[in-house]
Formats: sequence, C-alpha cells, structure tokens
Amino acid sequence: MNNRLCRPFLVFIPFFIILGLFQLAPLVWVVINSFINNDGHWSLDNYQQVVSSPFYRQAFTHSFLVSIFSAVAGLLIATIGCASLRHMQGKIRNIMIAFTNMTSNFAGVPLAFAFIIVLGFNGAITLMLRKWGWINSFDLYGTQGLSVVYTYFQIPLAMLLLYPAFDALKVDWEEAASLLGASHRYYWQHIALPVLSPALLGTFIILLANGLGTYATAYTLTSGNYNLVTVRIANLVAGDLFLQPNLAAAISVILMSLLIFITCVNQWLVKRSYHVY
Amino acid sequence: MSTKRAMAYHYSVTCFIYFLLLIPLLATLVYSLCDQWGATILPSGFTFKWYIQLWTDPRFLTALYHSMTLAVGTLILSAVLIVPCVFVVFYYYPKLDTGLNILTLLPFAIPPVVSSVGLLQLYSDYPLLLTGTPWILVGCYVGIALPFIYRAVNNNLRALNVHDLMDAARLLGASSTQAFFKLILPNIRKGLMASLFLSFSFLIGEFVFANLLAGANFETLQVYLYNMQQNSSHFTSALVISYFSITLILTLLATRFNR
Amino acid sequence: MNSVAISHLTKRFTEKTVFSDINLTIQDGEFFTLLGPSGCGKSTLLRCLAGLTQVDNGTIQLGEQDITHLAPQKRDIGMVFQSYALFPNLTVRENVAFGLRIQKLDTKQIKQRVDDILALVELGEFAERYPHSLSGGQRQRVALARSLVVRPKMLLLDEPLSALDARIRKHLRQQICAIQRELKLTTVFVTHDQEEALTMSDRIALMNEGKIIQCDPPEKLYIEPSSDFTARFMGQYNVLDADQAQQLFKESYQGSLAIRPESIYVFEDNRQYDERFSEKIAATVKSHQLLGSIIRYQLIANNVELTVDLLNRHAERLFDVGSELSILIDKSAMRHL
Ligand SMILES: Nc1ncnc2c1ncn2[C@@H]1O[C@H](COP(=O)(O)OP(=O)(O)O)[C@@H](O)[C@H]1O
Ligand SMILES: [Mg+2]
Repeated sequence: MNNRLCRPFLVFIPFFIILGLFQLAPLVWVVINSFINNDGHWSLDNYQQVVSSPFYRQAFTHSFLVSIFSAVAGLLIATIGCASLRHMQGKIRNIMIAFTNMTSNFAGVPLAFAFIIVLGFNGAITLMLRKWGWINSFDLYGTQGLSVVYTYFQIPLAMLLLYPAFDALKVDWEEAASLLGASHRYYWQHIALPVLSPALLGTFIILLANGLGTYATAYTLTSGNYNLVTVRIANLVAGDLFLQPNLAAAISVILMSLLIFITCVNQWLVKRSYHVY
Repeated sequence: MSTKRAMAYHYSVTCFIYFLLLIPLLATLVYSLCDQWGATILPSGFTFKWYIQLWTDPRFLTALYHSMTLAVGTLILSAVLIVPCVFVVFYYYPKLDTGLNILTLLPFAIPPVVSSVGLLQLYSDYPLLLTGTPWILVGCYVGIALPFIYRAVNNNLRALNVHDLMDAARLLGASSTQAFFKLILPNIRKGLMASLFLSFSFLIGEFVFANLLAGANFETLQVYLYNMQQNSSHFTSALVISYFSITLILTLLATRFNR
Repeated sequence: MNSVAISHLTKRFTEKTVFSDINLTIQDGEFFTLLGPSGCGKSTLLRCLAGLTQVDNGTIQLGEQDITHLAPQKRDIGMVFQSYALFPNLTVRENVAFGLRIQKLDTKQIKQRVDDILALVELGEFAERYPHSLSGGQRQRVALARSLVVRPKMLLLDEPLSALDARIRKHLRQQICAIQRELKLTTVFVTHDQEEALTMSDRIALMNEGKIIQCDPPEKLYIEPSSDFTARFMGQYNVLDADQAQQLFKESYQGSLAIRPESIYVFEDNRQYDERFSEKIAATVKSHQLLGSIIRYQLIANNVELTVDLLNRHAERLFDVGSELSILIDKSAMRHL
C-alpha cells in the first residue's frame, strides 16, 4: 500500500531538480545577494544605492511609464477588438484568432527590426506622415517610440487573453437589457464591463508584467541607450563596464516586489468587483 | 436596420486592428524583396538576392541548426519530465494541483533578465560551469515550455474521465504504468503535440537567455539576428521574414493538431 | 387596449424560411400559447414580437400602434428567457430595479415597486442575494418580476419552465397563471409541452414547420382536433387511416379517424351500453404501462394497434400481457379528420 502510493512520487524528482536548478535557485540567489554589500556583509547598501540614485529612479519611471501606457492602450484596443471579433462569422473569426496567435509571437528582436523599417528615421510610414505634415519627427528610439512598439506587442497578447472571457457575455443579457429599455451603451456600462472586469484586471496585470519584463525589444531598438529597469539589470551583470551582480539583484527584487504589490491590489479589486459563480 | 449598421461597425473595427497589426509585417516583407527603399515612400527593384544571401550564409545555417536542435531537445526533455508529473498530480494527488499551477506561473512572474542575474553567478564557475553552453539554455527553456504543456495536458486529462479509464484498464489486468502508456498517453497525444508546437515557436523566439547566458559561444537564430543589425536592413528583413515564416508554419501545424 | 394583430408575418434566415404569412390576433389580457415541436419557429415568432429579430415581411400591431420596425427598447414589451438572462453582477433587487432605473424613477418609488413585485413572486427575503446563489425556480421568478415591474403592455415567455424539474414546474405554472390573471396582462407563452399549454392557456396556436395548424381554446383543441397533426400532438390519439378504420369496425370509412385513448372502454358484463358505443371488439394486450392515475395499454384489435387509457381505479384489474378482452369504442368522441 505504502509502496504503491510512494512510487508515483518518483516522477517528481527529475522535474523538481531541473525546476529547482534553473527557476528557484537563481531566484533565491537574487534575493539573498541583494542584501549583501560589496564587502560581503549583510546590509541594505544595494537598496540604498538604487533608491538614492536618480539614474536608477529614472529607469523605474521609464519602465512603468512605457509599461502602463502600453498595457492600458493594448487593453483598450483589444477590448474593442474582441467585442467586434465576436460578431464575425465563424470562419473569418478563426483565421483572425490564428493570426492573433501568430503575431503574439512577433516580439523582441525581429519586431524591433520591423519597426525600424516602418517607423525609423527613414521608415516608410515616417516619411508618409512627415510628407502629409502630420508629424515633424517621430522618435522611435525614445519614450514615444517604445510606447508604440510595446503597445503593438501587447494588443495580440491582450486579445488572446481576453477573447475567452467574452464568451461569458450571454447574448440573452443584452436582449433582456434592451427590452427593459437599456441602450447599447447603458448595457456595456452596467452589465458587460462589470462582468468582464475580473478578466480585464487580470489581463492588465499580465500586460504590465510583460511590459516591465521586456528586454529584447527595447535593447535592440535603442542599443541599450534608453534607460529601463531590465536594461540596467542586464548591464550590471553582462555589460562591458564593471559588473555589480548584487546591485542588479537589488533592482530585481524591487521590480518583483512592485509587481507582487500590484498583483495584490489587483486581486483585491477582483474580489470586490463582482461575485463570480 | 440597426443590425446592419452594427455589423458594418464590427467589420471596420476588426479590419482596422488587423491592418495595424499587419503593417510592420507587410513593410518588412516588401523591404526584404526589394533592391532599394531609401528616403522614398515606395520601394524599387524586386529581388530575391537578400534571401539567397541569407540562406547561403553558413553562420545563419549554423544558428538555425542551433536553434532547432536546442528547441527540439528541450521539448523532448520537457515532455518526458512534465507529462508524467501532471498526470500523477491529476490522478494521485489532486490536492497538489494548485501548487503545480503556481509553479507553472513562475516563469511568467520572474522576468528572464532577473533569472539571468542569478544564473550567471551560480553557473559560471566550477563545478557547474554551464554558461556559454547550450545546457543552461535547455534548463531555462524547460521552464518556458512548462506552462504550455501543463495547460494542454491538464485540459486533456480533464476531458478524458481518467479515473474510469484507469479503473477499466486495471480490471483488464494492466498495471498503472502500462495503462498510462497504452491508454492515457495516446489519448492526450493531440493536445500535447499542439502545446509542443506552440512552445517551439516561443523557444525559437527566445532572446534574453540566449544572449546573456550563451552569447557568441552558441549563437541561436535570435542572437544571430541581433548581431546582424549592422548589416543592410534589406538583409535583416529577409531574416525577419524567414524567421516569421518558420513560426507561421509551426502555428499552423499547432492549430491542425488542435482540431 | 393591448391586443396584438400579426398579419402576413414572414421571416427568412439566409438558408431557410422559418415561417411565412403568419396571421394571428391576440386579445387584450389573453393568455395565448404558441405550442409546437422544437424547431418549428416558436421562438423566432416570439423574438419578432419583441423586436429582437427583424421581420422580412408583414406587420405587427400592438394596441393602436404599428410596432413592426420599432426598436425593442421602445416597445414596452416584457420578456422572460428560457435561460433566465439574469445579470450576474447585480443582486436580485438591482436586477429587478434595472428597468426602473432606466426610466429614471426616484429611489423611493423604485424601492416600493421592487418590494411589491418581489412580494408578489414570493422572493422578498432574497432581495440582496446574487443570482448564482438562487435555485432555478427562484431565478425564473426573479426574471418574471424583472419584466413585470416595468408594467409592460405585453409579456412574452419563451419556454420559461422547461429547464426546471417537474414539481417546481407545476407550482410555477400556477403562479404565473395567477399573476397573469391578476394583472390582466396580454401574455404570449411558448412551450413544446402540450400539458403545460392545455392547463395554462386561454387560447393555443399549434405550430408545425412554421405554419399555424390550429388556433383554438384548449378544450376545443383537445376534443376537436382539425388535423392529423393536432390529433397526434395533443394526446395519445389513435389516428387510423381509412383502411385501418375499416379493418377495426368492419364497415367502410372515408378519411382518417382519431380516437382518444380514454374513449375506449373494456367491456364489463354488468353494465348497459347505449347506442353511442360501437359493437364489442375482441382484443389482445400487447403491453401496459403505469402512468400514475391511469394505466396505458397497447392493444391489438382486428390487427389494428390501439392505445387505451384506463383509470387506475382497481389495482386487481390489471390485464396481463397476452390476455384477451373485449373493447367498446365511444363513437360520439371519435373525430373524422
Ligand atoms: N439566427 C438564426 N439563423 C439561422 N437559422 C435560425 C436562427 N434562429 C433560428 N433559426 C432556425 O429557425 C428554425 C426555428 O427556430 P426556433 O424559432 O428557435 O424554433 P423553436 O423555438 O420552435 O424550437 C430552426 O430551424 C432554426 O434552425
Ligand atoms: Mg425555442
């Protein structure tokens, strides 16, 4: 009996070894070493340095600015898109969803290259917009440009995450609401959005985390010249100048703590939003 | 009347969004197929030379080979490691499911850059000198594939009525292990394959680990792409399109399997 | 005056015509039922009345007003869906108050009217609960209250009881009828259950494949079926074609014949049978089935299979399979179709 219940447990061993070595161990290392200063003593020096440095503070500001903007914009566009996508015929819809699936993979280095071609200094769209006089210049390599690029890769991800949630909206509800005198807008405001709110909040968090953790796109686009948290961390462990892994660890811990904090706030909002079945 | 107007609205919204999503791809495609496109809105000179140049570059082929073997190897290992675990949790210890679920979210919650900080310090030295080798990437990539495989296998098991199947198999004299291989595995094969293809396209697209942990010692497609940025952008466009076509084929295969 | 006049109503979907040229009038305050097998177009007709589906041809008049092309918001029609369609993010009270809020009534008035209607459907104590914590029957009553509270000119019910279990269904049936009579509300009720239709309605329109086969009060529909379809759908009518009728009665018949199962009697020695009854016919029991207060027999008489219902009054008088008996048929209850 004992033997029979124990043997299945054996399959966990290799699984946990790999997961432990490559997921948990580095995390533990990061947390511990963030509290060890250059002299090898326990201290909060690393944190002190991050918090007091305008340079690192700017990195956090930039990261959050771009991530929050792209998460909100991506979520907004995806919500409108999903609401309309639901009304497409089955075949068209399936093709669209497959395409969304595909573009959600289109991130990082190749995406940055594509945007340089389209929106770079001599990009086709930049030239077009400049010719029509809509813009004087578009700085793809600054806050503006990164926000656009980030939004681009957030849209398909948001659609993939949100689309299933739209299935929860029953056609009956809008019909019942309309018979009670509700306009389309009233229905969205009072029924559809509240019902969707847990999914919207959950998707927002994932998009935000996705934006904050993004490295490849920004690194390729700006050659590491735009000050972001992930760029800073990477530079401190693999840059050309002096390496300060413990400082990188401290920045990482701050980043993750902020993420955890936002997730908790989010959970609280979800709990309050409405009683799920 | 109003429904026709509503449909027109829905069609235009959908078309607009997908048009936006398509622009960078289309531009890259056009760019990769033309001779010159500098400082003008329209391109000129249709050519395949960038593709020919790319696909005859030995460094590209090596990088492609690296990426492919790395991804396939990782996925075989992931399937062998993860599928039995998901099954055992599902069948023997359903209470552990929440824990496993949280584990699968870990790779999402920890940005790869952060993991790299620890990995670089832990595995750059004897006895575990792994950085600069593909092995450290294999280890990290198992974590990337985990959520996809877990979701797919778990959903398939849920749909399968595993307990009845296992009971029936055992009444017919099969051991639990036999029943798993002969009965459960064939039944979840389709979903598993779909999730493997999906993970494949994610692994091929991974840059952060590949660049920070292996770098030039084991150049993958993405790292090669990054290192080519000084090259002609027509050439890199051909590279982007080639890369994207590979992903496209994989996604299509994945949806095929998902039916 | 909230009578309804439907004329020449036609609805096509791309691949098929659901119904064409439907003509009906529904009286003010009438409980009108659309009865028919699943897929015959009842829901579509109801949705046309509500304005949720656009009609292709014909007109719908409610009272003095032509509402054919009016938006559902402006029709003053209440509807109860089979799936209840309660808003999951709102409490029972908020669900019921939804329509009143849109009418911008003041808070006190809303509270009063919601309380009244919840009392009417006996849900007062559930006002602050969310729909997911209610049973099916309770949800259906909330849906009913929600559409009644705005005082619509007409109430539409699309199979409101079919998702509920038998006991609650019976109770709710009575409750709906009582409320309808009390409010004197013009009501269109959709069902595929003939028993439900018979017990609740003032008038029934029997539909099949997009056509109205017969439109009559329940008693008339049951006793005087005008067609083969009605006879088969309304009861376990024995419908015999001319040949079978001739075989059974040994006299020649024209057209088909409908015989209700309860108008066939087993011959008893000590009873007098007047001229309403046919001659005695020998029959064999093929099978029997206990349906509570009645026993349903399948008999073979003169090579014709008949369904016969006998009151389950004497438990000792159960005829076994294979037993021989004589039957008489009440000819005055037979219908020539
Ligand atoms: N939106 C629709 N598109 C196409 N066909 C439909 C649609 N709605 C209903 N139908 C068809 O119309 C017929 C009648 O449906 P319905 O009115 O729902 O029947 P009932 O309510 O009597 O069961 C069915 O054959 C159904 O397939
Ligand atoms: Mg129906």
